[in-house]
Amino acid sequence: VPDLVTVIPDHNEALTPTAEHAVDEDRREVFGRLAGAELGASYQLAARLLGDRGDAEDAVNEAVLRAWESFDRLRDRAAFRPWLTRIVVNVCRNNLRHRRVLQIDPLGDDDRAAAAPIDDGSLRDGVARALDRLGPEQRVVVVLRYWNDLRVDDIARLLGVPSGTVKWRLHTANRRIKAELSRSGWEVER
Amino acid sequence: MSRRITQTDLDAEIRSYLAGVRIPEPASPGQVLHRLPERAAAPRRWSPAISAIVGSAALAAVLIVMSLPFIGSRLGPAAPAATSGPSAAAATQSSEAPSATGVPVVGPAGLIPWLDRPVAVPPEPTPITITPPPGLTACAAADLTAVMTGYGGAAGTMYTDVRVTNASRGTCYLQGTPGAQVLDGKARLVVDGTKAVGAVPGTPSVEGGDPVAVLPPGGSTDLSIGWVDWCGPAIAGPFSFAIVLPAEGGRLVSTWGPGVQPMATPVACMGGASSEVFSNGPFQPQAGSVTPTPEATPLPPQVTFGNLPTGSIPLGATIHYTVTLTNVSGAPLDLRAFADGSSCPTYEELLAQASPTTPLAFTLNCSSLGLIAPGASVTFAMQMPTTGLRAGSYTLFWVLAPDRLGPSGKVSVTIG
Repeated sequence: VPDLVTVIPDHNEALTPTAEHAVDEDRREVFGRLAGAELGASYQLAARLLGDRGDAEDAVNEAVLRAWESFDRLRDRAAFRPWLTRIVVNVCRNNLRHRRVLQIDPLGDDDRAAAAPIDDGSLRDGVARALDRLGPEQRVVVVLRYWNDLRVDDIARLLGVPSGTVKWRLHTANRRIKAELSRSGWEVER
Repeated sequence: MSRRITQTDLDAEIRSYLAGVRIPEPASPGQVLHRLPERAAAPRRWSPAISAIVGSAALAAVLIVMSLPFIGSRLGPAAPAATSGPSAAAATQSSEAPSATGVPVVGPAGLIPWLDRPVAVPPEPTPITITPPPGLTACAAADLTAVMTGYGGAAGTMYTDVRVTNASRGTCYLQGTPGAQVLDGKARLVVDGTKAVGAVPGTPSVEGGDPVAVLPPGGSTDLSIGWVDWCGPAIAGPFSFAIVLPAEGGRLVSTWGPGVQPMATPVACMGGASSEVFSNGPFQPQAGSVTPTPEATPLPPQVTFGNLPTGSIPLGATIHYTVTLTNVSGAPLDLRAFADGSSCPTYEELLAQASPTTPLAFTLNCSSLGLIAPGASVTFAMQMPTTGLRAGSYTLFWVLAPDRLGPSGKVSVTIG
């Protein structure tokens, strides 16, 4: 992530500075610093949720713009990170819901082989296929749980749903993954 | 010959796969920061009168809708009979009349056009911790009865509604998500949902934000239990379900309520390697408890469909239909109560045959609506594409505010 602790260019430099203008400028600087520090992580999260480079970039851009529009409502600046993450997740959820079929192919074969803890490509392929076929809500909780390593109550808080709902989605996601793997010849023991 | 892995291996594989997703960062990731509009938008503000009404409506609506279990997942109970033809779309013109509070109240409304609006971003998270009232003790299994009031589901999936009632002489409370177990006809444990399965935590559990359901003597709260994917040997029912209470509260075996046919056969095998049973989340304060239950509690609106084609819908065509929401309560209803109180709620729609299509989510076009008067209806235009679907009979599901378990409906449609 590049160093983005810079002053965001003002679109109204020709205007005579006023107190309000100064406040707005300060807000821009603060927002730019906070958002800039989170861009990389936001992009990586969006990439895992959407599985597409262009979509991930679009989602992060949209999330940042939404965050900027609502920045005044963020009372606790220390909560910026989870707040922006929530917006990124919501934008990605909306994107996923509007797709009829999730088309995801973020990995090259080399990457898959390098990342496999169990030396069997068909298991990795089965996992990839199973994750691709999860519904949007299931995919979101799986990514947040397994990749972001968030606890269930943190995911619930992030998504604004009861923790039981998160558990439910994890359960159903787990079940669908197992069912998909069984079609690839894998049985998961408890 | 199938190969076997453990759940731990599967968890590691999922983590490894997700960690292995290496997508190069965009060339200029900070570009968006240089394209920000001039000013951040000012927060939307409501008049105190509207805020008060919406606030109470939101609380009441949430209390009610949380008693409708699993709507977000199974998309709701059987819907009211679907209307066909253009009757709903040809509703009378919109009229507004002042309520007793001076807030415009919507009477019979005309057709509200469909709006392709992205799902609104909810307000920033505000971590909360809910603590039980001082002096009360947690309910123990010996204090409670659990009665199954019905069940339903589809192949491989069963949901049963359970009413937990305080049968003791004292007031106690329930907090947290209970665990669940399946018992066969001889009360032997068949499936234990209290154990963690890999990265999926087990229950019971208590989280800081879980609500507290205070149960006076005779008070009750409802929950649902789901059982999925039984691929084991034949087992005999009738089945029952045990609820394992949080905080070492003990184990409560539920019984089938009067008039309910006990479940005699296990759920079907869906090909999974293990069956699972679980409850639908933390106990919720409900009618019968002493936690705030406003007198004028509005019921969720009734959902009816209209304007659906009477014959087959051409392959690939977009289904244009209407959804009418009727305020069946005795109090004015604000649909924003199904969102954050100030924004229009989202809705989801999907078509299901053997397996459901991916839900589509939109924001309800309610920004011009005031409160819906008791008995009044509002009708919204809807669109559902059928691109990529095969010919056949489908069920069209529609649910308002799925994350809040809002009201839902379904109707049969034929495509192709």
